[in-house]
Amino acid sequence: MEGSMFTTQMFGKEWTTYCLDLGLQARGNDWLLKTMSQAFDALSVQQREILAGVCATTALPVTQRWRNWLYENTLEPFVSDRLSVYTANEILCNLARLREEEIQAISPVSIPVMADDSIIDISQEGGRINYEITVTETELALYEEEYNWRLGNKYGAKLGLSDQQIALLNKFYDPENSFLSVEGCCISTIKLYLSCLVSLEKQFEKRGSNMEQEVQAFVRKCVPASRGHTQEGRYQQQQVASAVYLTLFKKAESVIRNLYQHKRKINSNFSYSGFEQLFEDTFGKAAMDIMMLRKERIAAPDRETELRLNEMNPTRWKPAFDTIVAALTQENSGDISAQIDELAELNVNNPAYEQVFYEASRAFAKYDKLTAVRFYLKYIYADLHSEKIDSKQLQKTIQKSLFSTAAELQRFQQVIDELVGSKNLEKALESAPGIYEKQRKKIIIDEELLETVRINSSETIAKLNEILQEDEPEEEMIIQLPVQVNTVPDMPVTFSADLQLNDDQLQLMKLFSENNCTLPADTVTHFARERQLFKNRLIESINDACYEQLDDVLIEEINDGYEMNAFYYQKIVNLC
Amino acid sequence: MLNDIKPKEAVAVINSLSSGVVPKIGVQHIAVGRSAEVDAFLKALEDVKNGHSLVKFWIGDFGSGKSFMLHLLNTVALKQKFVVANADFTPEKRLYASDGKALALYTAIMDNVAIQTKPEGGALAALLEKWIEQTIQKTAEEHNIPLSNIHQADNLPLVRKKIMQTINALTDVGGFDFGLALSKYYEGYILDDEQLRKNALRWLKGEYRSKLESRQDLGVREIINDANYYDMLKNFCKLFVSIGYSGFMINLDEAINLYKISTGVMREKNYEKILSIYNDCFQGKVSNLLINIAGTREFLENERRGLFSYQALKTRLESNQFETAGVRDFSQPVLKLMPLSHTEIFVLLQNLKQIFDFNYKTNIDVTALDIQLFMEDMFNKPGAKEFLTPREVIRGFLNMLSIMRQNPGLDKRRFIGDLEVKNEDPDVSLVDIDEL
Repeated sequence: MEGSMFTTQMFGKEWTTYCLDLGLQARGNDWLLKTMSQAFDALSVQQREILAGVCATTALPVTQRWRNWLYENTLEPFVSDRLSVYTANEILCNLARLREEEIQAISPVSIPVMADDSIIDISQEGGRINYEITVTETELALYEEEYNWRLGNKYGAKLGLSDQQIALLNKFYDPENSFLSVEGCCISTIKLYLSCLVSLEKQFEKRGSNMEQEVQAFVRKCVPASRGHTQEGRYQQQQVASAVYLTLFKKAESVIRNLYQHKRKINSNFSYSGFEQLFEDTFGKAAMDIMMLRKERIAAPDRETELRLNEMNPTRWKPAFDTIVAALTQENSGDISAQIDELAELNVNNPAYEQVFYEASRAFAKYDKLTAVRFYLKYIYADLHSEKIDSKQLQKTIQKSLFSTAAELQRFQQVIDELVGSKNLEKALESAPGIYEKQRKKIIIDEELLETVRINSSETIAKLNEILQEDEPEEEMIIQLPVQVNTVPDMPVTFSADLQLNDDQLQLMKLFSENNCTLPADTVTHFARERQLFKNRLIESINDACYEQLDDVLIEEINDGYEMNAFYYQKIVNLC
Repeated sequence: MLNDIKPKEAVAVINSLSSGVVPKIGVQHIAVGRSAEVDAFLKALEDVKNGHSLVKFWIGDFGSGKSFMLHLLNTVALKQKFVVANADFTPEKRLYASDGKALALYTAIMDNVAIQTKPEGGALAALLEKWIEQTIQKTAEEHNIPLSNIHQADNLPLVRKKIMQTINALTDVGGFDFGLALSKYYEGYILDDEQLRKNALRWLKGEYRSKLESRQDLGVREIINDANYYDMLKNFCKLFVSIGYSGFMINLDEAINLYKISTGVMREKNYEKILSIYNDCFQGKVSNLLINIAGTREFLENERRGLFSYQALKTRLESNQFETAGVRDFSQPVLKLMPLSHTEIFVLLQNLKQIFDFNYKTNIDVTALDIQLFMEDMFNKPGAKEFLTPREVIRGFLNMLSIMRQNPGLDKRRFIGDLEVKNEDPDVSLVDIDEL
């Protein structure tokens, strides 16, 4: 590779962007390219090959990293007009040396086999184990790719970020922590950080400034201008500028942590002591206001993120659980149960995974016994597969509300025992309804007793029949008062000889039959009075006389009169 | 197996039981598993007929058949020429009160006085007239007055005097006013004064609330009230026996309403009244009187609110110490009705199947095994343990037979699963009654 090609590849538009980012005009670019080309050509063949490798590597991040190194080392001599072919050659030599060291550090290593005669080959295979580890080109590239320390480089392509956005993320090294190691959390933080910077930029523009200028102004307040001309001073200025962006990023991370209910908090204060308040006044407060506004638009964690977050926060499921359970009623227990199952699924990596089921079992006991039992079975199953088996029993009060009989409790215990033995959750869940199924009671008819009951019953019925149907003639107590009205001589009907009816009674019955078997009370009263009889007594005496024959009442009182049963009347009349 | 059931009895049994009520006639055909109890009450009726007096407590849980037994008792007693009266205890009707609630019970009893020819009640007028007729006859005989003339107004003082004499001889307490009211009833008849007759009847039923009104209408200075109603019942008992009846049987159901009286003092007074009646009957102070009181086990045995809370009653009513579930003593004042066993219900259903077939002249294809399966289904329904009563089982069974008769092609097993057991117990929350 020739010097001109190397400088064209390394100092292209990236160099211009780099200078602009630092607020420098990319002046004297031709002179820089010429100086660098000459310095490159002055290198040894081996050094030139190493540097050519930096340009031609398939891993772009590697090129980018070394390009940044080159820019950082070139910047100071270039700005101070001290850059000469000699200085440039020195820089390139250093670059070649560092790159060579890096390649050596990751290049295949051969472990020399000790030529020790004391080792006796007892395998009789005649060969030796090859301990040499070979690393392919692709593996090397992957290793380098992982060597991403700046978030812009790491997520630029993945999130489709613009160069400016990548640059904003590359302002600081990746502040690695467990929270940001979760990709979903990191991406949400990046999005909030970038959107916050856009809004900040707009706010500064309204004041006739911009973000870069504000940062430079802030840097100048932190690092005295007098020191800005030294390499150390410029380095400090770069570090302060980087810290500004890093602090803003940390603030975004803090907001996301809160939003995603990550228990562990981070310090998002500006790291340079004495300048915290200045930072807050310049950037911090405004940034937090923006983030609070934009918080609503941040997407909820996806399934993968939820899994990781729940894994890191064993109690993170509780607020969500409480919210779900608060709405539980007898009517919606099915829906709530499904929601609890979804919550449990998101906690499958959570060390306290089984607790979700245990608490669900307790919560459902009041509303849906069967679901409560199913959750307890799931708890037992999850507990069996956890690192530590707690095997927590249901509380006595919960147990009492779940099982109303000893038989139910016994069947429940059987299901649990089978689950522990077989570890077959599906089968246990299927058999859960059986706990509450009514056991069909068998009716056992004792044949011996049956016969006794039959005989006793028959005897009782016979005895009662005898009493209720006895035909003992009743002593008639009708007073034979002299009848003023003569007996009807040519009565068309005659009555059974068994009936002891006097003329008054016969005439009243005849009167009934002539009047369609119904008589008003007044007529009966008049009839009785004519014969000096009591009305009620007269009716009762007729009924009394006929009862043995009919086993029922012949004349009944109706609303305002009396009615004779025509069927019964015909029954006691013997037609001649 | 059918013991000479009559067609009209079969109709009554099937129709009434299908509707969940005890049949008016033919009730003896469904008296299964109650042989000992039937013997006990037949013996009791015989004793009362012979001049003894008894108080019987029919104790059983909801659905154990107390009302059925009282109904059977009624039927038999009426047939044996007893005057029978039924009344229920309610919050407004009790044995002891000072605000007319005891009198309300008396009025209910007198309204429901029944005899064989008037089994539905309202037989008091007929009974009074029967007694008066007897008295008139005796008056006519004593004074040699022809029967045709005895009803004349001139002879009224003679009859009135005889009535008073007879009543005085019959009664101990309150006889004068009682006799006066009866003579007024006769006077109303002789003078053709219907209103006077009705007023006299009102007085006898305890429907007069003020002495002034009674004096104005009838010239009777006293009235029947909470304090003297029991004496009047005893007077009526003697009157009924003097007519020729075997005795007076009073059935008082729903005694749980005495248990429910919230004031402890008032509840105790009622129990005291029971003790007084109990002592009268068993000490021979009254003849031919049978009082049946039906209530739940709580009413009897609860030590805080039941009869057993009154020590004097507890010692009298406690079960025979040698009695067990298998070895029973039915001669005690307390008759505990045990729930029917499965075998007894099985026999009852078999009997009902025969009555049903006899009634509809059919032969429904229901075997003994089907009956057993039907019972299993009924006893396995949710709530069966707490609420299933023989009434529910019988009604369900007859409904099934009815459907099968009308739809011969249908599968009988199809109906069995559709039956539902409901709680019909009105007194499920007794524990919630607060003591005042």
